[in-house]
Amino acid sequence: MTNLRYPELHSARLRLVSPAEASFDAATKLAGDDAPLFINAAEDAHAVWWSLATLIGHWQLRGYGMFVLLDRQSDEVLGMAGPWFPAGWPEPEVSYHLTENARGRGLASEAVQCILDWLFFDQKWDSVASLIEENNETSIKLAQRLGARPEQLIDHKMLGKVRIWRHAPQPNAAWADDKGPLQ
Amino acid sequence: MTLIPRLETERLILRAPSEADLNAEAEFFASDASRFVGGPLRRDETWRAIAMMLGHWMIRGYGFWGVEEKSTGVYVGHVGLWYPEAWPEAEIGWTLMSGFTGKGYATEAAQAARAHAYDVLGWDTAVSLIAPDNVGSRKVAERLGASHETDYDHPAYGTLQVWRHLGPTDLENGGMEAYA
Repeated sequence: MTNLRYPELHSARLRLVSPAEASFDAATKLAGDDAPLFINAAEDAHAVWWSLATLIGHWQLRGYGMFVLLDRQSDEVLGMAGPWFPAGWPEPEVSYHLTENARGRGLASEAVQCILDWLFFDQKWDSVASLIEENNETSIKLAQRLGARPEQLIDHKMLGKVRIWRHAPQPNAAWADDKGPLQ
Repeated sequence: MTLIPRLETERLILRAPSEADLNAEAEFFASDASRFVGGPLRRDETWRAIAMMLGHWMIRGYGFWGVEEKSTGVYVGHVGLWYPEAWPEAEIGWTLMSGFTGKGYATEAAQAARAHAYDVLGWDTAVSLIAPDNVGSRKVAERLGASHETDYDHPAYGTLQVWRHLGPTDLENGGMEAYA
């Protein structure tokens, strides 16, 4: 296995790190006794550990994956967001999950914007989807705010009925330099 | 970053799990033979299982190797050191794809994994968890010199036999044959 380095991104309030990065103690911060429950929150602690291992392995298999969102000041774990493309998925999807106390502050939007910048301008992706259920108004509003456009409604065997929302580079966006990867 | 070491035995190569193993693993996990190791699984679930094996390496510093036949390069299964949540203690595990059992491969690869655990990682003991009616796996444990110590009620997999392996001091050469 090659000695990969994983990206670290910064936004105004967030530090986004890959849980596959060796210097990040993922097991303690995300699956330890005091860790916030947002991965498979309905399941038990064992399922959280297994999910975390899978999230890390996704990075190793794909070279990208879900970032951990950390408060830039306090280092508190606020959620996860990133491109997700396990086998069986219709296409790579940018998804996000916030902890309870991180909601309502625009942090999901900030994190996803930062990740879109990385995907389009550093990783040179042409587009990426978000797969959103029709009744998930919060996610739809977020997608619209980020400039995503609705495409077809699909009925997927793993995801159920979801609409593809297409993110693409925004021609007039003012991409701030400090949003990009540090390396 | 945990580098996944490459081990060689007389007939086998143990290397990092890879997406290239998905076809073989998906075929195995679609079959009845996978019932002792958490199967059956769909193909997408099998992909996640491979991802999870890689993540296990990152979190623990050890894990399952993908095992290839040295002479052909063909993938024969995964063998290694396994300690996810809900495991009573760290184990030596082996799962061979259908068609590669009965050749002594599990024993050979497990000996290399055991040597790595004792000589490189400094473990002083190891177990294997085996489903009670998994006769083939029990025979591998016996060939390795392990003995059935107790049973463990796993939250998802039900009752499993705990087989205790010979410790480093029990093994005359400390498992150094892996480096010969």
